[in-house]
Amino acid sequence: MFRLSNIAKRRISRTSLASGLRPTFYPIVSQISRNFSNTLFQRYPVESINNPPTPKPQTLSKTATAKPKAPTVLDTTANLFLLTEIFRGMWLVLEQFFRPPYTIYYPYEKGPLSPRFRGEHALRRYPTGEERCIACKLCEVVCPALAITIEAEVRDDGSRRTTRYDIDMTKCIYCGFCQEACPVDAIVEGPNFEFSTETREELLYNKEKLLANGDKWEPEIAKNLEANQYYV
Amino acid sequence: MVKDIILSFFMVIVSLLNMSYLTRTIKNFLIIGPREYLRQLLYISDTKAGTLVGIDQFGNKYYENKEEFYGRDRWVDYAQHYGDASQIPPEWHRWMHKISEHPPTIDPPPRPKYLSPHTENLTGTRKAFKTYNTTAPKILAWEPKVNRRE
Amino acid sequence: MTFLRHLTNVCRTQTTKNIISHYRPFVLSNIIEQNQKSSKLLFKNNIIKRNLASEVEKKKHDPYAVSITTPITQIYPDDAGPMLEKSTDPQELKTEGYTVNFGPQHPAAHGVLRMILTLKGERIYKADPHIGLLHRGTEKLIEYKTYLQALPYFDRLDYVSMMTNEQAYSLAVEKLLNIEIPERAKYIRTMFAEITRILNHLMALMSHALDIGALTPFLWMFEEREKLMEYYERVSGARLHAAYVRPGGVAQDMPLGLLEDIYQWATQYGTRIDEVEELLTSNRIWKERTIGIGVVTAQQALDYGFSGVMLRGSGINWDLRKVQPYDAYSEVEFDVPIGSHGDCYDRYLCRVEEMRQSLRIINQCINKMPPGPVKVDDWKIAPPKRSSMKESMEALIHHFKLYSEGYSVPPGETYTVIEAPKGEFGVHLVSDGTNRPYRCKIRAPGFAHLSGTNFMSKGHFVPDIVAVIGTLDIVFGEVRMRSL
Repeated sequence: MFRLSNIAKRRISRTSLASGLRPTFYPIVSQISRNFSNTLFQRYPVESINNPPTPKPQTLSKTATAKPKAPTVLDTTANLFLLTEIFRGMWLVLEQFFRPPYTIYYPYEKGPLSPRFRGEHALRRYPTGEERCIACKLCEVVCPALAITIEAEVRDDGSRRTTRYDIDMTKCIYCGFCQEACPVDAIVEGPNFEFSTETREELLYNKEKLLANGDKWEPEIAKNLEANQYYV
Repeated sequence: MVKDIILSFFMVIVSLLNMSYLTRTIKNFLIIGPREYLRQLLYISDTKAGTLVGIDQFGNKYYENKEEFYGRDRWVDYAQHYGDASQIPPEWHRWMHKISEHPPTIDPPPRPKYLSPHTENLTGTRKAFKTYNTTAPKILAWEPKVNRRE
Repeated sequence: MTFLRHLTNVCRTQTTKNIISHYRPFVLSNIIEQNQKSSKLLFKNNIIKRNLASEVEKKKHDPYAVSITTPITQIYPDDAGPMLEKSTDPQELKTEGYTVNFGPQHPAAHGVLRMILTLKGERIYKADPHIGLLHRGTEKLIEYKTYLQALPYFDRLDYVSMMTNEQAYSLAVEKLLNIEIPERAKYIRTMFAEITRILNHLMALMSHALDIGALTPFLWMFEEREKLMEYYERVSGARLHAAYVRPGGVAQDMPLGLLEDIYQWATQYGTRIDEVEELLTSNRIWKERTIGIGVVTAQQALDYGFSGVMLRGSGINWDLRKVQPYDAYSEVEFDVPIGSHGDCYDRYLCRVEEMRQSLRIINQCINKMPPGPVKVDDWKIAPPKRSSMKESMEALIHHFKLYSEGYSVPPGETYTVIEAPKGEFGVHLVSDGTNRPYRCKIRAPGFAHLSGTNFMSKGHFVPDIVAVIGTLDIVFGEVRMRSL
């Protein structure tokens, strides 16, 4: 029913983070206007990776110490009355107007995260379903904000487990030390950051909540830990 | 319904104001058609077209278009009217945030047996988390006993 | 106590003859000090007498009319500046300073700056910054933390340049421990310090421009900040409070592909600086607002303990990266921009040029990035790898010791400084041989800079105080962390 016109067929150039959030083609006009830019400081060309900066001390120091050419009276007058620099700036803004926006439309689109992201805490379990935490209290000790409280008892089967594992998320500074300290990968800072609450009370996490978090986010937590295992 | 129409009309104006590429918008409009166009204006307030990568258990649809910018190339169409970002389950969360290259349909994450169903952020509802004590009380509180008066 | 007594005097005795007690409370202490100094002069100029007479006149009609009309101009007769020449007109002598609260909720007062401006007409006569609204007792808290636990506090001091703060602390601890970190860690630190510098200068310049009225570059450059914070996130797991640079190296190695992405970013970033310069550098409005505003002479900059761009903008060639290189700065090549006039415009140009130089350093770091470990190979200081921790008993013991007790640092003290984006960020660390610092005194550049607002803004109009605050590049996390 709808046929693509020739204009619509033109592809929008694919960009990645590598080349920034901008299209790879750069408007020609800014290149022109840049040549007329009258900054006093010398500009350094961006070195390419194939050509590492070759030491040219003589030429470099020569240009660095060269005095900028003073504008003539004619230049200054023309600049004053023709508002050249204002129009150059406005032209740049106009160019910007025709570039696609780089705004990410949250919550429909979301920004990138890495496997190392330190978000909401979770207590993990072994594949059997047994909780990992052995109540060694290393996280409690290392926590700089004193946000973690642990109490432990011997369970009926003789193993030592926590009876209380509270994290005050209002105190937590998300430094990730608890995750680093944990010898059994029990407490982790998961990838979730959308846990904002309406009351502060909801942020006083207890053991059940943390375990529930772990049960909920385990697919992603496991993958992220796996992705980062060679670095830690 | 009337409210939606008014809203979408408003969104058309808004989108015309901040429309990025005219060609991009026209192209995407031609692909998705007017009905979806209006629907997207109501929600994303932009016109996007891409391949449907998958649908999760809640009915949220995940799209991808590699031609868009990095950061805008993956998006979700929420099943609910008020889509909240916490409605995305962890498998798709990983894909949405570009932690993984492949969607869970291709590269499924482990699903342990104790996995609990995903819930959105329930704050502000009756199901919101309310903290409680997980240990037995360590002190014996004195319970006053009053003798019956004869 | 005298201050309090005077306060109570104000409340209780309306009949007192002492005119001082009718002044507004918050300028009271100043007035007492200054009055003692300049009372002779005041009497000589017949000001106090006349003023007393007028107060009596006023009180006849309205006993409460005295307090607001504070004759502050009379308090600083010597310090009047060029715009307050002594006039022979008796009416002129009677004009009084007008006190304005600038902040803490003013949008141009960065953070929670509360500045009390005394105006004479429309000109600023005295600017009195009040600090303490963000005091968190960091230095005292650090005394109760182990050396590792104290690290996250440094992120939160100057929360626009996080990793440089960590770097200063880590260098101080390393100096006390007398260890040398691996080459790769040095290069990673240098590279991220320069990324941090760009982050900070972007925020400083663009919010400066925003305050003066140029909204556009602020929004553009936040895109760049977003990308840089994404690199932060990829390397450390947090976009802002990284806790990445640790005593003994860095927390983890960089993930694969990060260097390439940083390189790709660096190739396009130069053009973004050009864009911003296109908008600002030659713009006549920008020039009008910054040239000649907040002039700091070289002598003043030295007297007030300025550092960083505030010092270099006044023409003093002093960059700690050059004069006492730390980490890998001795192995990279860069130039230090120096201003010539010491005004806001020169400092703006210096910051822009520093961003270009940072780009140069980042490129060199990427090219020279050596392979190897990123932490010292000493389990007494840096924790072992998780894989070995799970297999080797010895590693597990070290892991437990490091994360519970921490490492003990030999007794001694050091003052270690780095060239943070804002200036000289120093950590004076005193160790008594235990696992926690005996004292950690943090020298933040912003505090010294803030003390310069008074002389920098003198004689300027009220909108110019915004330019002055912007050019100081103040972040209140670091200004108010001092134990008062």
